[in-house]
Amino acid sequence: MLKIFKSKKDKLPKSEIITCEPQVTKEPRTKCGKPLVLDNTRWERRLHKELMSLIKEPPPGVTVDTDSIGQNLSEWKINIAGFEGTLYEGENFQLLFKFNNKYPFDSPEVTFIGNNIPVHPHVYSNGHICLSILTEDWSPALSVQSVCLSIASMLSSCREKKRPPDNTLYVKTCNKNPKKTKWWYHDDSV
Amino acid sequence: MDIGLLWFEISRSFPILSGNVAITYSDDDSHHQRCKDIISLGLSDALSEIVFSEIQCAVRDKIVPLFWSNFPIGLGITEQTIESQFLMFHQFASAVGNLQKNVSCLEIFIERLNKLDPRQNIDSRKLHAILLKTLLGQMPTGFNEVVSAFYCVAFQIYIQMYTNPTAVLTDAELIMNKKECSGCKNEMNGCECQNLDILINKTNKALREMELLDGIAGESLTLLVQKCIKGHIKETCHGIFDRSFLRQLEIWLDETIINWLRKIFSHVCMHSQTPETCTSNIIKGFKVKLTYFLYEHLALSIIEQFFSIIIDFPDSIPAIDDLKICMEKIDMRKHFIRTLTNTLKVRVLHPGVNTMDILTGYIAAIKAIRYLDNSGIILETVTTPIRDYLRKRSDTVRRVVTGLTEEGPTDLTEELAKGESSKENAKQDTNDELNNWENWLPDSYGIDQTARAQLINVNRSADIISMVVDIYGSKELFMNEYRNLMADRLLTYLDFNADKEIRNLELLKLRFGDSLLHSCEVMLKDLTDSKRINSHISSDTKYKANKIFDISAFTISAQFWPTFNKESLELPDEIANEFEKYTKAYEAYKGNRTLNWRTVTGRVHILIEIGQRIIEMTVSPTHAIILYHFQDKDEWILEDLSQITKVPSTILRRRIEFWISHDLIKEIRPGVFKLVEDDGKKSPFEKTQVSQSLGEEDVESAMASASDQREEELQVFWSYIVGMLTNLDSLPLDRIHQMLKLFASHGGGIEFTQDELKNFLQRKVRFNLNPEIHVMYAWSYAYRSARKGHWESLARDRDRFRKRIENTSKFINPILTPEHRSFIYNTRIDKNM
Amino acid sequence: MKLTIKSWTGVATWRWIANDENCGICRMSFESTCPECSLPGDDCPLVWGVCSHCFHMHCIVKWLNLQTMNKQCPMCRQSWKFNIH
Repeated sequence: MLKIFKSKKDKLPKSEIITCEPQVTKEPRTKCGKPLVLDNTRWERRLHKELMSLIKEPPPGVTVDTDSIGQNLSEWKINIAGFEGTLYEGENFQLLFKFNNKYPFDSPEVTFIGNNIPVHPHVYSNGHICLSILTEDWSPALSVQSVCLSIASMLSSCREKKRPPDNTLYVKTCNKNPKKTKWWYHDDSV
Repeated sequence: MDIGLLWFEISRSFPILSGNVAITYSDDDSHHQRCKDIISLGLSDALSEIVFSEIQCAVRDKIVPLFWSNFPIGLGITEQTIESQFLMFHQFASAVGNLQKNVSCLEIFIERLNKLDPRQNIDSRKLHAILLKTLLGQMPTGFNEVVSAFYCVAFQIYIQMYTNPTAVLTDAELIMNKKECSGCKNEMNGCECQNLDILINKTNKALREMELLDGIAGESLTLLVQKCIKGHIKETCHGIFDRSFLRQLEIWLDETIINWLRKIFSHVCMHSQTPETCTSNIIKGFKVKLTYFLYEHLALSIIEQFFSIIIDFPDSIPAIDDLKICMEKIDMRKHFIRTLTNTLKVRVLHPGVNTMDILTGYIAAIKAIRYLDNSGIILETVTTPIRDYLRKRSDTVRRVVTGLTEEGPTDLTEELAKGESSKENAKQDTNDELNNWENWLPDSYGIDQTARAQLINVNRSADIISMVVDIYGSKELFMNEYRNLMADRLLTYLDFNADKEIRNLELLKLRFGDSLLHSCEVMLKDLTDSKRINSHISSDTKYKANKIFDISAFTISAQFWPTFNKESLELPDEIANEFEKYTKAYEAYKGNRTLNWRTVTGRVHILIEIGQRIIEMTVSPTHAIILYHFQDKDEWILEDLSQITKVPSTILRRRIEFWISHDLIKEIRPGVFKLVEDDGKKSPFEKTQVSQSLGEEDVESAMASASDQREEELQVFWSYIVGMLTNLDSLPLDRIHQMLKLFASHGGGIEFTQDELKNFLQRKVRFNLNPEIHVMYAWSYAYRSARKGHWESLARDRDRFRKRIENTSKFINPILTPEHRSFIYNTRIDKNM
Repeated sequence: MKLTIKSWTGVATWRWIANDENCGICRMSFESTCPECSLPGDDCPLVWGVCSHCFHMHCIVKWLNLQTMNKQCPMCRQSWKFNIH
């Protein structure tokens, strides 16, 4: 299991390249000819719905820290409890979700925060997570809930508690935003 | 010189020394001679003192009591009969006359005294001052009545003689009433006004000369004049609002009252200033005071009737103009606000008044008060109670929205139509305020400070529509209600004619913005779409060939309409088939889409052939289906019918009542209904009975009621609350409220207060109605013994000591054993021996 | 007694024939609009893919424009092709 990475500080993440065309001055219109209501509140509705459903019917072990939710819902903190029967049984972790205004077309930025970062081969000690659905394999059909479940299952299926081999180097040289890291996914077994 | 003789001589000069006030005019020469004698004797000082004090005594003991004896001890009569008035008039006149005579005698003494001893220089002013003080000191309580009676009569006579009576008497009055002169109240023939006038003038002159006019008469005069003014205002202006009275009243004041006062006060001063300027100064003073008094009372009178003014607006604009002018001179704002608030509270804000009337009143009040005072402060303070009260009425929102959109020109529709132009102005104002800070002026003086603090954020230039909508503080409620009303209207009439609606919607959008009314737009679009779809489908040949009856559908986008109520109706198969056909045609027309029918809403055009009658009607689907089932079976039991139509019995019964009122069904036994084949054989009794239940058709709303909708919204929140509490165990009420607010703000405007939330949650708290009961048996004997007594402390001590003993014995016991003792003895003690 | 129905004006709610309630991308109901439109129905239609998943047309178009290579269905990740018939 080898992880080589290249820090891509200068290159913009893929999703942004395409949309960086020169802005057309013409006011965008919907099909019915009315001016497009370009307020982010429309897409925020989805975030809102997700938040409400997380609070209403949280998956097992997952709780939303409602105090932390900012006014515009762009940052969430979620507590995850390690499952029974796994190596992380009894431990509690905290995830930070950061959404930008292109959500759900752009994946959220997810990291572990707090004083308890799980020791996992895919989790660096600064909290960055190496998970394909967080960068390349993201689809708008995924949701915060599904991401939490994936992370939980990633933790549960771990057989050995250890840090990634290039942990120290990565932590020293990485970008604060884990999405700017170019991940090479080598190991599908964990 | 003989003392006796000297004394005799002196008392001839000054009869007052012997207590005699009256004087005989002895010749001055002898007096002169006597003076010389007295001066040579060096007695002038003593003499003048004696004389002066005698004068004072005389004033105090004789003259003044005599004067006052003419006045009755206070009778406390406020209303004076005419006879008593005249009586007192004459009394006063004669009293004053006597007084003057006596005082003039005294003045002669003073003159002589001055001649005797020029150094003293006692002048008449001093005498008058003494006189006034003594008079005032001995004033009886009935004094004012007499004086006011006197001046009352004087005024009447003055009016009669010197002013032109402005009232025009009709002939009848002339013949009947005017036998007596309004001045002296005598018969016309024996009018004594002239004589009385002379008497009045004399009395006034006397009072003036004695400088008593102010002291004695001043107060009554003022009161009388004020009463006059008040009465005049009431007579002329009360109840009439469409003319301005201010100018007229000022002229009246000048002509009548000031002139009269001038007459009384002329030639009043005989001292340093010339009489004319003195008079005019006094008159000027009076004029200013009385003018202000006039303004004040005019304003008070208008304020008292301001409620009627509001109702009569804009006809009552002249009255408001008058008030404006008065209020510029006198600050009556607080009084105005207080009175108006009170009047409104008593006359308007109580259960006996329709909501629509209160709203109309509110709007009229806004207009009137804004005309009066542009700054909007009074408006805010006065209308706040109205708003609070309207908020408590449950149908306010509906009324406002109906008022905004209904037929014919109402106040609100006018305002709405005017609204387009004024909206831009409103926006300008708020910007100007910030840019225009150099011209900022503070708010007017005199407003209650605590109320001011709450008014800070109010946009004072808001127009009427905003003020009405502002009753609830938010536009969303109104827009919601408008949406519901519009949905009801569209579904009830189902006539696919939306022009009026579209126009209203456009106006409302201009006023309130697009986003709130978005669903209304979609609703109207549904209407036009349905029309198109209907025409397309009915021209579809395949469908046309097959169908039994015409179906036209109002297809609606459920997400944008308010929720429907929970009624249901099951269609019989034949009819359901027809709907299937329509649905298929629709699906063919619009790919990938299908229809869910809401069977209970709609209009059905039916033809009924029963017995001899053929009736054509348009009814609701439930009615039609009921009658349809009666085709198959003549007689139905309510429960059976309810089962087959899936309509609850209570509602079904109501619908059947409709047919009963149309003589098509009758209830032969309780719960059993039968068709009526023939008519005409009904007894008149039955006929009258059913006509009670006739009346307008029961047009019920197809939508869920507002309270149901609220319940649903709160239900949604309930699920979140359950989730939150499951995760976090317990939360204080404001935390829950905060979190829910967070959701509501993003979710789309569901608003509620913390109180509502509390009520809702309290309803959710339930007691466990089937608790597990563990029965505890307590024996009374044991209970009694188990009570505390001093044995407890004994037991405790026992226990404690036992423990101590145990601990200590651990160490001491080994030492006390015989073996150990003998061992010690042997090793230590025995050895020594 | 005979009852003939001459005409019936009814009320019906339309809905899309889809195997789901909400669009997977914007999570709004199909009968409601996507976040960028204001009028539902013909102005904000649904599209289906060959994998039989359906979305708001605007939503899926936006997503496809953001993917450079192998346009995939957000739900099942199969290669996306519009199912037009």
